[in-house]
Amino acid sequence: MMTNHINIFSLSIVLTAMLGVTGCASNRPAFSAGNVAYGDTKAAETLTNEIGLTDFQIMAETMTTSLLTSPLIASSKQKPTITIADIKNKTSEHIDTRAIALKIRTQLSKSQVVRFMGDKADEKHALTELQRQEQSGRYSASKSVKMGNAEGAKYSLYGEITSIVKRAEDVKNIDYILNLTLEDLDSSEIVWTEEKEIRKTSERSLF
Amino acid sequence: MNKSIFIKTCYIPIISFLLVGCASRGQVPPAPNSMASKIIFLNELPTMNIYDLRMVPVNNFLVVEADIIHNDDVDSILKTAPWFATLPVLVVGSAVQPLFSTKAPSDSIQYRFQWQDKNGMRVGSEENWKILNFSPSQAQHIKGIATSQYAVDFKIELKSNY
Repeated sequence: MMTNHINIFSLSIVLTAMLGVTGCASNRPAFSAGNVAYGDTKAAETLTNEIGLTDFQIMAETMTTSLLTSPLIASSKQKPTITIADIKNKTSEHIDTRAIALKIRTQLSKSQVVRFMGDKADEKHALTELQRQEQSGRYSASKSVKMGNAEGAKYSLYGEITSIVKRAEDVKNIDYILNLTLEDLDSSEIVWTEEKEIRKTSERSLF
Repeated sequence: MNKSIFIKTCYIPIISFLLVGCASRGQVPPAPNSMASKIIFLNELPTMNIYDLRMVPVNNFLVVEADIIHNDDVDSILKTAPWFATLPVLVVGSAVQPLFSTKAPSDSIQYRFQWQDKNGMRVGSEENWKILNFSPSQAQHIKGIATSQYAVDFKIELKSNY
């Protein structure tokens, strides 16, 4: 009788472990030798419901294509000059919003219809380099860059990302909303605005 | 055995087999610039109808829109909108049986756009895959915008989400 109990107990442990292994295997990439695998960064990544590279890519693509087809681009005789101000993170997660901003800047720059001027973060590097050229005594005055010649951007790009989290039994829902605005710094007119919503739903796994 | 005879007896069947293999997989290529020529399937899909494909330049950037509906929903749409039958329709996917169980709340595919310049070369970075969920009796609309003014043509890549 005791032996039967032990056998059933052992069998249940083995079955549980097997189910666990199969459950985990479904989302795992194929590993060859070692424990490292290269993945496709363009694939829709659904490992967890936290914000990830796929969300950054979707947000950047939506914002870029919206701005490129906006009336601002159609009506501009010269390439509009833009600087990135700030994307505020109003979610409860740690999100590198500068990474989203840089993705948008990269994609827009490649389109060659807008010009980007350095933002606050870029300015630190530029000032350091200017001071180095001026103060080191190594550079010819006529062949080094001068202070006071930088061109200011006409438009400022800023925005915020928010999230709404809801839970019901085993299901968790997160809605991310990225809202961006392009403001004319002369007139303070909002010349373009766009938002992108992403809903991510996850179910608590048994294992 | 003579070496040349050995080569003929061994290689010719292998080459023939490969050629037959290629031929059996081959299909009639779609007509240039037809709706079918713009679609690339990477694996089996639920049966879908792409019933409209539009391309228009906006600010010199190519904008493409496609309307897609799951095959299971065509009959119900025809009852309320008979004009739907007059639209040019491209049926894609596994046409005999829907690939996924009807118990699933919705079928789902992934898609992305490829942009090409006047020489047929790809333009811009590779897009990320986007997921498109089919809700019952609901047509889905996908839109792609090239981020380079050199893009003059496009392809839509489709694959199963499973």
